[in-house]
Amino acid sequence: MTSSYLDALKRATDAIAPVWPLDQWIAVNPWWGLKHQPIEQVSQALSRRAGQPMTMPAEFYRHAWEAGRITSQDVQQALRQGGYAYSEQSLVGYLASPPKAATPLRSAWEVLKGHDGFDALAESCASYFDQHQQRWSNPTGESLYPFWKHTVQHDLRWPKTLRQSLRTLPDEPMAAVEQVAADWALTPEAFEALTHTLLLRVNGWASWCQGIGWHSADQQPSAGIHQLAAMALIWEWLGVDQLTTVQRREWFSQWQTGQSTLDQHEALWCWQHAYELGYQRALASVLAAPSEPLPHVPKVQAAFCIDVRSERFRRHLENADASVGTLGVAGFFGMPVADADTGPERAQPRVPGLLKPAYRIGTPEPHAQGMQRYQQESQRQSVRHAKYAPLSTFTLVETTGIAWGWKLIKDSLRKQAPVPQCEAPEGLFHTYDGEPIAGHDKVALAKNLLTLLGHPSASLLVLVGHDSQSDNNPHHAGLTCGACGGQGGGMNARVAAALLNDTEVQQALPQMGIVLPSPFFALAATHCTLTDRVHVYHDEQMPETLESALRAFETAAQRAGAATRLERAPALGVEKQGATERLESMAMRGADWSQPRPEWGLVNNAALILAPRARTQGKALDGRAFLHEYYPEQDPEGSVLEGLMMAPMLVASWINLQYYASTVVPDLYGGGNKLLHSVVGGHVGVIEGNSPQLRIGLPEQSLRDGDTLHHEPLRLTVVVDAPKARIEAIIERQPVVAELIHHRWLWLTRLGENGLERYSPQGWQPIGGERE
Amino acid sequence: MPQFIDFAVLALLALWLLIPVSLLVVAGASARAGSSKSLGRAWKAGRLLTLSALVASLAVGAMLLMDAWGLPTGLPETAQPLGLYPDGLAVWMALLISLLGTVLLRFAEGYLKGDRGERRFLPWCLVVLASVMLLVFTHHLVVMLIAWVGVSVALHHLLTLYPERVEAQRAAWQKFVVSRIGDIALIAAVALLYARFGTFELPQLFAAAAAGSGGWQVEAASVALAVAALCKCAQVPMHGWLIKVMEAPTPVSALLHAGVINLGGFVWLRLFPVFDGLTLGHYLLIAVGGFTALVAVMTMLTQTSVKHALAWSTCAQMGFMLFEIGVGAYTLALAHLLAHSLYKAHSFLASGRTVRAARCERLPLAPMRQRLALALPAAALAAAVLAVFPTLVSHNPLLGALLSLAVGSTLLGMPVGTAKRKRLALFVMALGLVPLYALLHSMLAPALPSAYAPLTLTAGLLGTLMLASLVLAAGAVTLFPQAACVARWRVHFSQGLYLALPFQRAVDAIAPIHDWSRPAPLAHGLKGEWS
Repeated sequence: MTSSYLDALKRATDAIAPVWPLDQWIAVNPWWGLKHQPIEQVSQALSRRAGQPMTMPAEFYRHAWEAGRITSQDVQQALRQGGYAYSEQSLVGYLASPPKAATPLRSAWEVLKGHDGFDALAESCASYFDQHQQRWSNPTGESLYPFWKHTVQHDLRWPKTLRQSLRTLPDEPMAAVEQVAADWALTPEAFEALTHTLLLRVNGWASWCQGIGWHSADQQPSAGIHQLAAMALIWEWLGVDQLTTVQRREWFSQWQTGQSTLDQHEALWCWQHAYELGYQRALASVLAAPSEPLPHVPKVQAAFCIDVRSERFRRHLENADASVGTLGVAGFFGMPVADADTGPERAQPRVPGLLKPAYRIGTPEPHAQGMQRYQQESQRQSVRHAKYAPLSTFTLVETTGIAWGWKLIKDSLRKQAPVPQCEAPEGLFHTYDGEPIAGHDKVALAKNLLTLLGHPSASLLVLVGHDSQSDNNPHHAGLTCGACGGQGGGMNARVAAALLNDTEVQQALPQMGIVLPSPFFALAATHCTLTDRVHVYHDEQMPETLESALRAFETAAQRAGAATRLERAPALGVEKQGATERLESMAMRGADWSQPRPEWGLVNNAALILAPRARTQGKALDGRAFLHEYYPEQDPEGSVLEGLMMAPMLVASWINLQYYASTVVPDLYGGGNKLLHSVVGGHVGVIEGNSPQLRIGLPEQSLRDGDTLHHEPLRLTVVVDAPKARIEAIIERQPVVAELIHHRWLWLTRLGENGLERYSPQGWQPIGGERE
Repeated sequence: MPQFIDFAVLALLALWLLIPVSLLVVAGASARAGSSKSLGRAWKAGRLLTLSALVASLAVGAMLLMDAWGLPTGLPETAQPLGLYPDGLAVWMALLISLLGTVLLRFAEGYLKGDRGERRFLPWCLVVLASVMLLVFTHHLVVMLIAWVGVSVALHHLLTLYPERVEAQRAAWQKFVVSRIGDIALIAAVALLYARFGTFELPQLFAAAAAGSGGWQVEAASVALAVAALCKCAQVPMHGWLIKVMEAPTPVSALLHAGVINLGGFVWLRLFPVFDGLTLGHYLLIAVGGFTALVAVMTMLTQTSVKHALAWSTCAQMGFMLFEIGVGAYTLALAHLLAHSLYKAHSFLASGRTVRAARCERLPLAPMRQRLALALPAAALAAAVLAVFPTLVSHNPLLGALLSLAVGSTLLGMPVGTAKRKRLALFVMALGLVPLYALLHSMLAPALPSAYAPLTLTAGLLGTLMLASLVLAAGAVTLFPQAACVARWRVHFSQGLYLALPFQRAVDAIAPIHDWSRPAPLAHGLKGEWS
């Protein structure tokens, strides 16, 4: 009996996706834990449990229909492919008068008026996890649930009866849950729905607790999501206690009523489907256009991150100079590394969230540098401590406050942000034992990278990591990279370039069947996505014969930067006309403390294309596509493709669904208004306004400009250049991939002989050609 | 030549006065601005005006200095018919508000660009700035009163910049009620002063007060003025709204915490010469201000979000400023007002940098013995210096004790493993607070008339009680944070000892707060994306 409740609890907590701290930002699919269910079913459950379906409101689609963004052809095709029991007419009629939303489930605290609902839980979470802001330390060694319990027991805001009932419960969370569950005697299904509903009331903190298990596994037992789930259940139990008999009966019956099988949002899903088909058919026709003839062997090849922001730049780079070729690859270049952790700073992983860094990057003279940074930090912290200590804060503000006048003036002066740069790494060391990386490991990393790049043919390979600049921006890490721990990719590029140039590696590669061009040299560079400037880290070891190729690259990069900025300027509201002024204006955004939107990030992302660059070269994809190299002829076994579908595709989908979720369900999965943000716990997250609820996802300023939405909420369209059988075999082998595709969390298509074809369990369906 | 100087002074003062008036005109124009272009022009005009206010105030300040150095410019005589009172206090305040105004408008223009609050922010922000300037410049109590009300009305609109936010409305209505109580108190104070001295104009008022002794009206006026200041400065138990103002965009918080909330202190610094020594009003300030400072500073220690910590810190700092006024340390109160405003404006505007500052975990502190070995001698040394030069702290033993404690406390946050060189540097920095304090004091003392009232027994006792409680609380938190009773008090303090609740509940019961469902933000966003 009890174990079935614990199983239900486990299922409910698994439905919440993790989040990472602000300084290690990772874009997360907030429905990751629900991918084993069809998206429409999850949407229906969410609309019942949180009052929000996972589509846009009817008005949105009506507007898109009237504006011609969704055409009759899209609707017809959606009806055909989705097997919906609607006609075009009934769909349009639905938009004119959408049915009223069904009443969502209500927690006891929502029935009781005049309470801040679940804020008491959020306050305790903030207090428990904050290691930076508060100065009056909490009792140490307690787990989250007992900490909360003791806090509420002493908090005189709550009625005495409530505090006394709480006291009667055990200090062990699962024991308390069992007691409460036994008291309610709900079915395990109802109990699961209840637990999930309650967790959605503290969705931000629930996601944080879930994240603990992902990034700080050692704290999981004391601060994992089960602790919060226990708090939520107990809190609800205390709330139910205060209901009247009638209210209580209603409360019980709403959980026992099963979810109706009728999906009241089905029509909206059909519209969403049509909306996505509109994009897919446009994409199909762009991809179907005849490719420009490829230049012979390029003099330089530049490998960029798959990030959608790279697409624009690569297009302009290739336009600028035909001897420059570009490649797309996951922007950590396959280097599972973390920052040096010799100083007092936290080590920053520079890998996608699903990986663990195996190596840390060495620094020159680690001990001396670490000591120096420690001393600087200890002085800084001493002064900070004094500023907040009760005995010195008054005097300190009084005597030193005038100096802040200067800071006010200094920060108000407009200045340009430089291109972010990083120092040269000093080799790699194992994370655990600190031993330097072994030769064969180096070779393996290099081989993996070269395979992903499809064996570059140019003598000069430039690995371009990307980075961004912004000031006074809690969400800075979200702009530097959507995936790799919120860190710039320049360091990964430098590590990778050093590996490829390593003589030991270069000697070993031919034995593994990898032939490098001769001469061959790899350089690293940073692409600043704010200003589209590229900084190449020059290397004296580079053979002189490659100088001209490097010069060609740098010139082309400058011209590409200007062209990319011109393309991006209107959306940013940069009105400057001259190229130089435009660059200055954009660079200033990166050093402007009053700029809530330095750049648009990965807004409007919509597709991932796994194909050779030749298939996409010269085609305007509007900065909406992630591009990863894939050469079907080099991969008869499908193992490379399998790797791509298990890593870059998941990362792209996480980013895509983060944007999607923040747009369609902003209250639950969006970050809220940056103008009202306050950072909680130093780097834990942000709250909006006075509410203690943690806000996850993207802030409004990343998605819309005033009333104008800049992101089209589309599920990711994955385009693969591979034979049908190879793709189907991977779907067969990889349950995660199968779940995402079968449950429509993304669309899988392939570049067939007759244009794009979309996978469905019933077979491959053509996307169709031209849009009207 | 003298005529030319007279004319120049007149022109300067006229310009000085014209700036707030023009700000009001621009505010009106910006409220009606149709296109984004004309709105842009209004932003620019506002910025230029605040910047010229800064320059003009510097010029007026220069004339005051010339007057002081025996080069009479005829400033007071010229100012009188214009209704201005350009003394040192007015100039310091004008410098503060025009600097803040310039910085804030520059910040807000970029920050609010395209935001749905932008169109309402600009006019009301300009009205706040203009009102504060008029309040500071004027020599007439009635003008001061009108400006005082103007500030709070304009602020109400800024606090409800996002009218659909229920918490914002709650805060704004609490503020509204507090402000009206404050208004009534200030009206009463002005009326009582008029009843006693028969004038609304500051120069005559001060002259009359210097000539004749107090009377019950003056004593009553001091109490009314204290109530007005306690309301304006968000003191316990009417502080709840201040803690919720992060419901409005960051520049509003900065404006409020830096430029508006201290006006309660300003009216005291403006009017204290009418009081003979310490009055009942002073004692009220010591008691309530001191208590607020104590509660709010301890509450600040428990806050987990940067803006909440800053808000509680403001509450505490305002309490302390009023405490200083209460014990008659007017110069220090002015120093505190100016310094805190600049510090808090920057802290709010730059609060997004918190993440970068949190790059390192908090380092463990050095053993208590090691820290005390540094802190105690530093505090003793500071105390010795102050005993020899008591003028540094206005002959006020309370402030002397607090300064010595602060010097010591500065060294109590030293992390373990701090190198000897750094420890020495920190020691010197901590002791450096004393000369810095003296420097500030000497810089600001000329701005206020005979700014020194000897401490009375009541004031001394009240002050000692506050100081002792602060030491006790700080000591308990530093030395025994894990003790069960300290942990329990932590829970109470994290809610500000629940002191805001009664007033909040009372206002919630009467205020017209609407639970507006948000006007579906999803539905708007289609403009021009696929045309």
